Amino acid sequence: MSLLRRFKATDLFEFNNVYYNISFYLQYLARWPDLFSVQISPHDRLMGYVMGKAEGTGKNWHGHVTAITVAPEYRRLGLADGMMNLLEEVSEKTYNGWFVDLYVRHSNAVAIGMYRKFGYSVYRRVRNYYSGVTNEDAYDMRKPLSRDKKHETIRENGENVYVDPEDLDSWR
Amino acid sequence: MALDYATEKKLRPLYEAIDDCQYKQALQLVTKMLKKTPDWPLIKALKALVLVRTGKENEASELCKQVKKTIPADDATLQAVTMVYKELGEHTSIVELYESAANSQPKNEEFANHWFMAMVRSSDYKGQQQAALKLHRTFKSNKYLFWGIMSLALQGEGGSSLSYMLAERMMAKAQEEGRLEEVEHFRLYLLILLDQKKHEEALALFDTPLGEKSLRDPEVRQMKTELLSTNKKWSEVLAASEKALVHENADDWINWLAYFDAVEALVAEDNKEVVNNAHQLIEKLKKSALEAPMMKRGPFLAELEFEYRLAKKQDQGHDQSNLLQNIVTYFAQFGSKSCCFEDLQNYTSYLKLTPEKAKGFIQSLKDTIKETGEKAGKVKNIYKDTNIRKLERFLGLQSQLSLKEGIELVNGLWKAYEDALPLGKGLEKTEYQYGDEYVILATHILLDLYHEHNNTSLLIQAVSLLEIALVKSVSNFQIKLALVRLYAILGIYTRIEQIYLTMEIKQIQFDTMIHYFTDKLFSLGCLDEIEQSLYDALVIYKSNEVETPEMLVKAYQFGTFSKIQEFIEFRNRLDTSLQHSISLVELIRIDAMNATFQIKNGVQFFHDLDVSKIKFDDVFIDSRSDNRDFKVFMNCNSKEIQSAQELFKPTISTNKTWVQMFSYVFNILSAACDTKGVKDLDSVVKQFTEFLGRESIQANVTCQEYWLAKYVSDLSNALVLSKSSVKNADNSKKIAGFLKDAAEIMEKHVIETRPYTTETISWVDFHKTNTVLEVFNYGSVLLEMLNRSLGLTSKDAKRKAAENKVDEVLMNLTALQAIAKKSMVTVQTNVKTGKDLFRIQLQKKLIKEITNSEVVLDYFKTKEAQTVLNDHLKIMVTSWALSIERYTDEVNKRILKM
Repeated sequence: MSLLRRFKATDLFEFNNVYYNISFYLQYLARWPDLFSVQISPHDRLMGYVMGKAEGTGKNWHGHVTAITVAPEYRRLGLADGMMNLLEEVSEKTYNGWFVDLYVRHSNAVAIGMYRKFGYSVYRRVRNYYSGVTNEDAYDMRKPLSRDKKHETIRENGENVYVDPEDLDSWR
Repeated sequence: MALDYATEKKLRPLYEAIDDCQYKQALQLVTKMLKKTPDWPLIKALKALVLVRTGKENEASELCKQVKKTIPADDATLQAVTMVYKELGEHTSIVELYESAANSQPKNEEFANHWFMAMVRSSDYKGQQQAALKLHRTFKSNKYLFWGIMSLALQGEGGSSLSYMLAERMMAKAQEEGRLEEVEHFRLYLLILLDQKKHEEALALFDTPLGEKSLRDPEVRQMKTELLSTNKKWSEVLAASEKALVHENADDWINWLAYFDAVEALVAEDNKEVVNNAHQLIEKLKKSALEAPMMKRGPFLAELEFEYRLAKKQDQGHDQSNLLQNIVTYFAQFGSKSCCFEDLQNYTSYLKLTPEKAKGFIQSLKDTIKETGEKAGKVKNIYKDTNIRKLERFLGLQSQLSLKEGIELVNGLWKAYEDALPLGKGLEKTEYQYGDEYVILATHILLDLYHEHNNTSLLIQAVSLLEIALVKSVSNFQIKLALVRLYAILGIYTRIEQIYLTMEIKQIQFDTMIHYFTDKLFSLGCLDEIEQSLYDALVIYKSNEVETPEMLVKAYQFGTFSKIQEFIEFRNRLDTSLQHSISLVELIRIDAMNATFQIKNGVQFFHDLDVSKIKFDDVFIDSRSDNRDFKVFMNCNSKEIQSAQELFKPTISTNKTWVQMFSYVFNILSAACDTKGVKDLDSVVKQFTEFLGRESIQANVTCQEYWLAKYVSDLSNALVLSKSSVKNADNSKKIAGFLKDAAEIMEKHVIETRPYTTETISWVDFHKTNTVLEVFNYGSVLLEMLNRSLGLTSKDAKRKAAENKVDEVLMNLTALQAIAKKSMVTVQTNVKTGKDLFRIQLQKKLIKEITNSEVVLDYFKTKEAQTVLNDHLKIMVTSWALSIERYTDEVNKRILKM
């Protein structure tokens, strides 16, 4: 039960999951204001947010989930579900995309399971996508939108299709 | 106009030198080139760039002025000059630069764009509008038309109703001409109407083709529902919200609220059917929620909201048992969700009036917990129990406990925490233990008891419990925030500093969160530590200056009109941040403490001090935006009493009054030490005196801080009078009066700074010591200026003045100086008691005190727990000793120079 609305720049003042600089968040808002939403509790607290963008060319034109997060005290309420729905709806209706995709740590079984439940499947596995102290592979997961009637943008057994980060599509 | 190959080749070494920050070399190259071609604007501009980066701002500005006069129209020169102006913060000069360029080449679309954007950056809405108009006229792009209309709307927001009207007219015309294409165009039209409160017209807008297309956007749909409500079209609100709830999202609170508002309004119009329909809708959505793979709480919470609204409408005597029963059912279903406590607050708060009923209610919640053997069920029960305890607190069932009852409750909570620990064995390091909130709740109770009984043992145990829990949940920021505040109350800074480093505060949090790690800590003598944190934090304001305007530019470029006002608001809130002002004041206090142990250095310091950013006028202070996040601190207290965040601090938080007071002090000191006679000491002292007379002041600062201000006020009033051209008996009498007042308050407060003892040890003791030091510093500077004003500059003159037993002014001056000296000696003695007290032996003593006291927790009765407690005490004692050491240094240095 919550208020799902567009993220406002001033929400940043009450934001406790800050990872990036001002420009990072504002540039998403400036360009894809409808793909950046926040969930507010009935008592006006920020519960979580989803931010995304539209990108790609031709049949690769799609919505991308850049980040989705829910504050610890509001987990297990199905909030991610509602936020993903919204992003998918906008990707489909406003941007007329073919699919929505996202990247997830290959070790994050909980998240992967959740995305599968939302209708996402692994399209490919990106080697060492997350670099850090220890590198980690990412799953590129996708969900086709209604425009993709023949499900051309997804594949089976994507878990076994390896790709290197430098071979990812040029718009990244 | 790009550079030709030959020129580029010639300039490349220069550009490279600048890029590599080799400014000396760059300057040599520039000088050589200017010898050959003295009037080449580009080279001059590049020279200005080198100058500004080497701190020669005036020369740079002058050089840019020359370049600007030549009306440069090549990219290279324009870019170079723009860079210099940006670094100088001269935004209006950039505007002029591009305005001239655009005028000299009217067909150059790029220049005109730059001109427009320069004004976006400098918030010149009127200028923007003119530039947009010109762009539109010349280049005929729709984009520019909407830029112009947006610029008008911003002027409207600034108070010009004419601008709104004009914007509306232009929008209407654009609509007629079929120029509105994008949802953002529609949003722009909508915002112009909404800002003018033209709700009917706004609603009508949805009946256009673009309006209908825009309804694909969920937020636009919400806006329409809201507009229907404002226009009291209740049947339509009912239909629209019902549709959204049934077909889109039964979890959407905005639509539930709209739906119930509509129901209430229609009932008032005698439409009885709607209540039944509402019940049916709730039942229907509850049923489908129960069938869904992931059950959402929306329809169930909506049911409570509806029952609650119905009950409120009825007579006072109405039986609310139906609502209560529903709440219990809701709790049985969702009680294991952390947000359940938040969900139920509104609907249960009336129970506070009848503790017996509240107890019964709590019991019925407890009855919903079913024993289970499996782990998932056990975890759920922990969450349920946590929510029950929070509600207990919220309903006042944990307040006014006796010491014994309170300790018992804390024992129970700690046991519950320990019982929950084994369940969390497999948790990731970043996750929280399931029972963490038991510990936090326990500390809330311990703090209540502390405020009531003033027993430090309670606080020390609370800290120790939190520290133990933190080891097992290293990223739990609620534990960290509670700890930080408890340490502040106890007067301990070393752990605050360490915890700050583990929180990885960054970016915007520097504005919203830094106060947890700096506020009121100056009093603990940890100047270097807070100075570092405050400098870390200042970065965000620079980022805002640099980054946010560029994002505004982007919003125009992408035509995202719905975000422009918001970005401006964001920029302004950071621009006028109260925390920023606080940080600047704190940094001056720190610098002043470091610079003033010798009087002549103190005078020099305030003489050199740049107070241009430390404004004290009411308009400036009132317009500060308090962006600090206090909400994040866990709170289960009912609204009638102070929130946990307010109770968890050593004194009232720094606020606007505090900033204004210290800003006055520094402006006075700066004006008092001004040798050029440009600063108006008289006027600022007068305003300060008036300010201190206001009623609200004392409630917003500590009595020590108020004393500091009063002392500065008295001395500066005496100084002003001593500088006055009127020299008569009346004047002398007044001066003597101010000096006497100053002496009296100094005497009174210095006596109050008590020696350090274990019974009372807390922030307040350190604050008192620290204030005497601070008062002494500012006072010494003002006394020195007073001496100079009275002609007492030589040792001889001072000695003679001291022996004078006739002149009222001189006698009081001598007395005050003696008291000031005495203050340092008293502090020295007190600090010495602290030095003797805060030794390793103190740990043992404190442990004994705790374990022998009636407030000892069961947990700390074991040897094992006492060892851990001992470690924590070691940290505390060390921190106290460090504070004392710092004071000792400061005091000794000053006494030595007397």
